[in-house]
Amino acid sequence: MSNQTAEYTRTKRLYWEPSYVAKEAIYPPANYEGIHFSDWDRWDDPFHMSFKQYVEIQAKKDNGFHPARDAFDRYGGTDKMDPRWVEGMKVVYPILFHGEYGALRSHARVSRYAPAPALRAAAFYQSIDELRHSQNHVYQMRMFNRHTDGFANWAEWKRHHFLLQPAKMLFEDIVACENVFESVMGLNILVEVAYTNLVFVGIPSVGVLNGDLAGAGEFLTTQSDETRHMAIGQSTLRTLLEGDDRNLPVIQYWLDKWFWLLHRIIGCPLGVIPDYFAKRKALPMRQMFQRYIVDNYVAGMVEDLGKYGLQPPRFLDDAVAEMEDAPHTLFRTLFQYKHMLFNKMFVPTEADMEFFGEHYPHWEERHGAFWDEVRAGDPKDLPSLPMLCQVCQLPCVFPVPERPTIRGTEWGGEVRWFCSDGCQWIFEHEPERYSKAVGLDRVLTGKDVAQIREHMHLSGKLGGVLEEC
Amino acid sequence: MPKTFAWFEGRKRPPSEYEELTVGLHFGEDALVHTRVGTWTLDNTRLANVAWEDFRDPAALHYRSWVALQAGAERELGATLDLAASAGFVDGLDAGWRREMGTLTGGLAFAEWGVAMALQYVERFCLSSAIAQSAQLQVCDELRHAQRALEWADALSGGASASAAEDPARQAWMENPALQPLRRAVELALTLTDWGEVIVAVNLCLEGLLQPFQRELHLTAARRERDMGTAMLGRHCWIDEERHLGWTDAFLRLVIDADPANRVTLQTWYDTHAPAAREALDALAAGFPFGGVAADAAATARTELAKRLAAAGLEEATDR
Repeated sequence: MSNQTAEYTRTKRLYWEPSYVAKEAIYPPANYEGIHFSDWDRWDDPFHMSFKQYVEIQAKKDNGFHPARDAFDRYGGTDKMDPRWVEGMKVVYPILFHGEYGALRSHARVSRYAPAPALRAAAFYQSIDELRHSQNHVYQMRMFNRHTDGFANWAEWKRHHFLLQPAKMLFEDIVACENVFESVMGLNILVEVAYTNLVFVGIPSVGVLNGDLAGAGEFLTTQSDETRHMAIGQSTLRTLLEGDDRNLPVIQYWLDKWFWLLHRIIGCPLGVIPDYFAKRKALPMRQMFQRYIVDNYVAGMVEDLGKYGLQPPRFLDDAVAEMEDAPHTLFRTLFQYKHMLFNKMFVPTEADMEFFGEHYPHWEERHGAFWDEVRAGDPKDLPSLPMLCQVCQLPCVFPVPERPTIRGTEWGGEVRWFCSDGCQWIFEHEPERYSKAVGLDRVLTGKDVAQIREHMHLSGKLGGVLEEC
Repeated sequence: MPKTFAWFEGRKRPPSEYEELTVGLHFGEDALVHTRVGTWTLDNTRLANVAWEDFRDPAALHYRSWVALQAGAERELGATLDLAASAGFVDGLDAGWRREMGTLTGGLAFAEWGVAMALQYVERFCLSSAIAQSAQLQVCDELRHAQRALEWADALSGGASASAAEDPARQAWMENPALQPLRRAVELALTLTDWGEVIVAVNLCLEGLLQPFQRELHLTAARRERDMGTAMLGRHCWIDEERHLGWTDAFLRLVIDADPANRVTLQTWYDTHAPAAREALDALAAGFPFGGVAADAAATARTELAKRLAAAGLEEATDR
């Protein structure tokens, strides 16, 4: 037995069957209700991590990353970033923080309540990784905050600003999963296997073109941990599918549901970063989505696990179709609320439009007129918040604001509105879970712009238009 | 441009790196998703009227400083234990000492893991990002102790057994009479559902007695037996545990200062859980006497806990 395996085995040895209280009192079965498995001890963590190895590896990574970020900032790197990119990062970092912080609290519960001892140990290391990531994001915001506005009150904005409510909803939802295996499917499979390559590999490759070497370094060191987290998810998914046929429908539902939530809340909004906030562009979001999500995640998963009956995500076709418009629809919508934002917006340049025309065949037809009117002098500002989806908390503007696919379901004596078939489908499966959310559109009904800004903790100068773009 | 985040503005001194990375980061209470387990609501603890984000851990560690600290500590402890086991130093120790200390250390590894699991609950449900971090770092430290304790117990007893059923550490934890009150106290703590009560049951009652006891026992008895490995293990564990007791004391001060009614709640919890912890300590001291060293260690542990209780404004339970 290698030293690594011996050290890992020690953690597995630490599980015991309680006898002074009922086992169910310590590990309530409600935490994994509906999942069937005969021998939880069979589940294995592919990384066989020990504490000693963990701190040794992570300290080395930190010793590389933090001095590099400090040097980048000290020698003027932050001031040399493209201003548009900086405006985009004002939105990205609070969302990333939401994700990491939610993940650390969620995996504290997985590591406490999962029925498999090895999964508990693996989740334990993931939880502390997520602390690392969340604090690294704070380091980044701390660095930006010394150079520009729009970062100073990010923690309040993530609680109160409408732009960050979808991320709040998504990661609260992961934390609030009753079944620990739903947490693992949502976080380790959809967030990490499906989306972290897009977020932590795809986005920084564009960031570097716009001068963001510190962000690239931070995303790279984050992704080095995600590899382990992906393995936890893949191992869990395979083990449950192999273990008992009855798990398939439960898992298929979770994967369908979380695919749509991730697409809607991360995939769609993220598109504005490579397509708009990146002045110097690489791949358009549409192609990134195809490469990282469709070709890598969906095709890879179906190829690997299709033999157990696993199907592609239920709303895959809708998601693919939406990527033709989603970044443009959301950028337009944000532009209309630039007087209520903590970052600045801008009008796309000729070079931007040339890029859109090349990569999005319908851009001119569906979005061009909006920007023509802006250039003609219409600021397009709206006085109140848009109608928000009951589930995802995004505006009901998809696929394009002129033809939104708004859906309604009556529940509890009132109609709940949704931005898509996907969100409506999720609500109708779990109405108790999603019906109590009161969106900011309802909270702030009847308020004027000044009152809305005050509610969202925006000081006088924030938002507006970025002149230098 | 601002020098720090808005929630630190207006203070006389600038926030520390620890504060900037740790404080004020909680999601907030207006949940958008509602399930049986939920996210964070004020009523998931009986402790009330506390400004939870005012909590500060005196150790002021955050991930970067913690991982650097523990990487160094692991190198030091690992080198000592490796040398002791591989170079024949363990073979030279008294056989009775090896058997007794191996049994105790192996059994206590399970208690460390139980404490880690209990603190995971605090990490998940508590209402402050700073408390969550203190709990989380403690969880990690406890795992460290559990793994190292098992490693050292294996070395003292001549190696790990092939099967779980024959594992002497597990057998000790499950069957040795001296460890049963401790196992009972840990299992009871793992059923608690108020995260504030978990902190009291585990970090005040149980760890408050157990850790000073282990520190004294490991250092004093090991010095007498010329057992550098046990002494080193005890020393390393105590360095971490002192931090854990430190944040627990800060937690008690915060909630009592916030509302006198919280003192009553804490006292009730203490009175509820202290007897099991004391029974656990007494059984350990009686079952692993080490020539009287354990009795002295237990007395020291009781004295130290009494001082911490007095400092917090709490009273010793009256059942003895």
